[in-house]
Amino acid sequence: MRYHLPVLALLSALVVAAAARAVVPGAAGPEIVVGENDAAWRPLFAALAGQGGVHSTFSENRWFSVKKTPVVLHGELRHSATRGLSLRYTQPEEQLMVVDDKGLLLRNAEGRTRTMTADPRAPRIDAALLPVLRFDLPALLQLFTLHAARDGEDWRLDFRPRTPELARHLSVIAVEGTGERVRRLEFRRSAKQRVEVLIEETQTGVAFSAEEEKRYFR
Amino acid sequence: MEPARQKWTARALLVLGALLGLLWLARLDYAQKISTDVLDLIPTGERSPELALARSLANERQARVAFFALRVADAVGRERATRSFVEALRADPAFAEVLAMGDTGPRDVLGRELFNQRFDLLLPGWLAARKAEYAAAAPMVPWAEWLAERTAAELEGFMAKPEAMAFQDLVPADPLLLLPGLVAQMPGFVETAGTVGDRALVWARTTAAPLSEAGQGPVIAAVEHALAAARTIEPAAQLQWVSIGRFAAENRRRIESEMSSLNLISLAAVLGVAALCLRRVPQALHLVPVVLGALLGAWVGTTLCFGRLHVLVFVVGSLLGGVAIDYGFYLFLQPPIRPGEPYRGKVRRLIKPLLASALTTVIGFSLLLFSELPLIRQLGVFVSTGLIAALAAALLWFGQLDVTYTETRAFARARLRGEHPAWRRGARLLLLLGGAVALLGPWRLHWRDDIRELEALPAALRAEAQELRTFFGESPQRTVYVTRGESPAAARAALARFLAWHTGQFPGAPVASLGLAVPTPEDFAALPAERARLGGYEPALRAALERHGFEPEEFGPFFTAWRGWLVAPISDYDTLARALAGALQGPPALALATAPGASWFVTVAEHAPGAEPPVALATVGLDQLQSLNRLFSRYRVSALQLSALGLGLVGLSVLLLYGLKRGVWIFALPAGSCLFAFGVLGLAGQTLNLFHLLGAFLGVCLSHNYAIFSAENAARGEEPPPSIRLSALTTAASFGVLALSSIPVVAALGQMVALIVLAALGAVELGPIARGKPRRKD
Repeated sequence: MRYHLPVLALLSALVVAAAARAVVPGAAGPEIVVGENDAAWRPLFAALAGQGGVHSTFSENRWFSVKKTPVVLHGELRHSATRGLSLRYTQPEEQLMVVDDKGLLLRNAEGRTRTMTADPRAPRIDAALLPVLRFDLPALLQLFTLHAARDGEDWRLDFRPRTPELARHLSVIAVEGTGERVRRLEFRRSAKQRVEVLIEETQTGVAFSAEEEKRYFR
Repeated sequence: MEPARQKWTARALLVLGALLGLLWLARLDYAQKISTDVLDLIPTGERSPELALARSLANERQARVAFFALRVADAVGRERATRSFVEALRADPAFAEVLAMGDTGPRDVLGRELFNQRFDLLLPGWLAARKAEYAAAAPMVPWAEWLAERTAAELEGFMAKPEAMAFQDLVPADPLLLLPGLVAQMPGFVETAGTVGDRALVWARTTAAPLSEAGQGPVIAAVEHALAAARTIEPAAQLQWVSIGRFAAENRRRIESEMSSLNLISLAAVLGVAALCLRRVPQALHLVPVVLGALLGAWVGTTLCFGRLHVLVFVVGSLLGGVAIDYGFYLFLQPPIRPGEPYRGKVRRLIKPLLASALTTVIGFSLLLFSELPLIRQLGVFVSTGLIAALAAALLWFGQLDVTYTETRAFARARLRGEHPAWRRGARLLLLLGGAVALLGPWRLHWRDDIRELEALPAALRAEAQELRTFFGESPQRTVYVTRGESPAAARAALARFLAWHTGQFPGAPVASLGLAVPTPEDFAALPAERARLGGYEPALRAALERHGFEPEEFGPFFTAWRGWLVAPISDYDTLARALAGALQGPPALALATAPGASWFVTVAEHAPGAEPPVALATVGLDQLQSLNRLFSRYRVSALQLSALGLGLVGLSVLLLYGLKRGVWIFALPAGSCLFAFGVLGLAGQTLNLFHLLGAFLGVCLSHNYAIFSAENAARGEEPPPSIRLSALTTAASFGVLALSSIPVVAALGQMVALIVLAALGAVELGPIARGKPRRKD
């Protein structure tokens, strides 16, 4: 038992330290203004923007004001610099959502497709995903103010709408990650209306085959 | 009658006729009388439904739409310039509505109206579908409880769909998912983007109808002013725009310009040929009153007979100069048979061929009065009255002159003799060759009628319009249908039948129709009874929502509205549909009409035009162009039948006047010339249309005159008179001018007539040479 105490203390210390390292900054950081304090963030944006094709699995939790518990969805995320973002929901039902420069495309399991055009002045929540995942800082700064915080390898970016038009749909987009890996996205309107996307296994630098591009993109 | 009295009588009659004609023309309201509207070329009582619809659409707000694309390279500058452009248009009374595309205003209005009326508009269909499901499943639970459980389960499933995010604010007031359900029924609904590349798109509706003057000039001025406003912000801004009014104005400008230039050039060409061939050039001026008299008579005749005339009649009517001058030639170039022959004697001698040629032509053209096509009827009257006026003017004009004969130059009378075998053989060879062309060429003819050939629009303007329409969603892979009915209820019932047919014909093809937002008459009629059975639905739904993990109290907005609706009076069907139509703005307002006698719903389907809906579905593909082209082909067949009948009458009258043998010879010349012209065009691979056919008819009537005068001279053992040569050359000159027209149908007509008269002239010239010696009098 004598030997155990120091070991436990050490273990406890390690656990506490590990837990502390695993928690991203809890609050939004200061606003990033181009030309003033953006220099420290440019390498991260450049690295994230230069990842090439991305393929991830994800879980999505949707909180609605009318639901007691979140609706949980699972799926695969594909991101291509040229083709846009593809979210293939596999559970609870098969659905495909493509967000690209043309707008939004929804396709159900039977192959029925619906499209909505992009509105650059007031992107919907889903449409706002595209510039976020592209980490296209100039495009994002046209629509949002950016607040950024970092703690070691962990970072957090908060995008707040610049216009009341956009703010009607969205109060804040939060993107969290570690190193060059995005781990969580949150689209928040209010405490009872928000979407949380937890990025799971991720591959970067993926080259999508022609078959994949046809199946999962527009 | 003494010659002096005869002269004064002729003068008095000429002056009186001219004064009365001019007085009549001066009293006319030309803006009301003369139309440039392509639709006025179509009969008002047109039996084909698509044309009846096209007519009605042209006068409604759908026809008042204008599309704009403002091109500015810089995005920020584009937005500012577009705002300025839109504001300037809005400030102008010429425009009733102006929207920058991407402006969600009209969509919001539509959404708000549908939401406010959701129980009346959308619930009947929702209930009917579930009622059918309930009846099929025959469950043990009562209807209201089954329905509540079904509602909550559907809502739970919906929350896991991507579109749930877009509707999350609506769900507390619409747990039945009436609005999301409507959107899901319209997968073919595609929003138009606010920008395409570096162009900002603007949609507008003019205040006045596009075919009225108020819908053209003021609109064009307003657009120019708005562009100037945009350029104060972005000087390099470029504008593309399209509207029916702009097309109509441009078309009118070009047709009017053609009308004046073609008439002048045609007249100059006719007088030029006359001046060239007459020994004393100033004498050619004596032919001018004949041409002017013909045109005056034609204008008066047609404006007297028709309440409204298409401007093309006057463009094509410019050909009359080349025809009318014939009578002047025949009278003026005919030498006296003895010195001092009085004018009355000359007229008595020539009146038979003159009347024969004039009246047979008039009989032929009068038959066109039975045509279905207003333009053809109007042309028939124009030419008939013009020819009668020309003959009268010629008889009176030369009756009041001291000199009633003028000589042609030697070359105009010169003739090759057929005594030399080489000339004879050459002439026979040419005639044989012509005969071969006439027999073989027509078999290679291709016919195609295209209503665009009636317009004088430049290709660049068409291309601009096509590009703009593509920006605004028009695509060859999209078909627009219109379903009609005498009332909104009849139209909606027809729409239900059409959509069932469409699903069978084009399985899986997405469609969008605002008609789906209106209940079918059957579902709506069942609503009062169904509502009475929904008393227990609210508590059952609360419990079902609780079971499916929802917070029932969050649905307060729905339950409040539901309780209110249960006790509210239900409006009648037509009022409901009209309230929806009346509340709409912008492009959605064009998707339905609820006027009594003219109610319809537009359906957009995502497929290329294909099978046509059966007539019983009261639905037509709104591919107006195709419809009109098909219709014009039908008119061509009808015109062909009338022309054939007319030619038959002309031939018969010739046989009656000249006997069988001479009559056949006389009729062979125009018929052969006509076949030769068709043969040339067939061998040249030319595609022919309705106006080639009209030209052929006119050409036959004209060449028929040459045959008559040629036969009259041949009967006296004389060579064909020089008046035939002059007449044919002037006609060829005037129609040759028409062949240069930028309006394809006018060019077609000119080309055809010029070919026929030249062929007839060739035959008249070659005949005596081929025979080798002049024919002797019987």
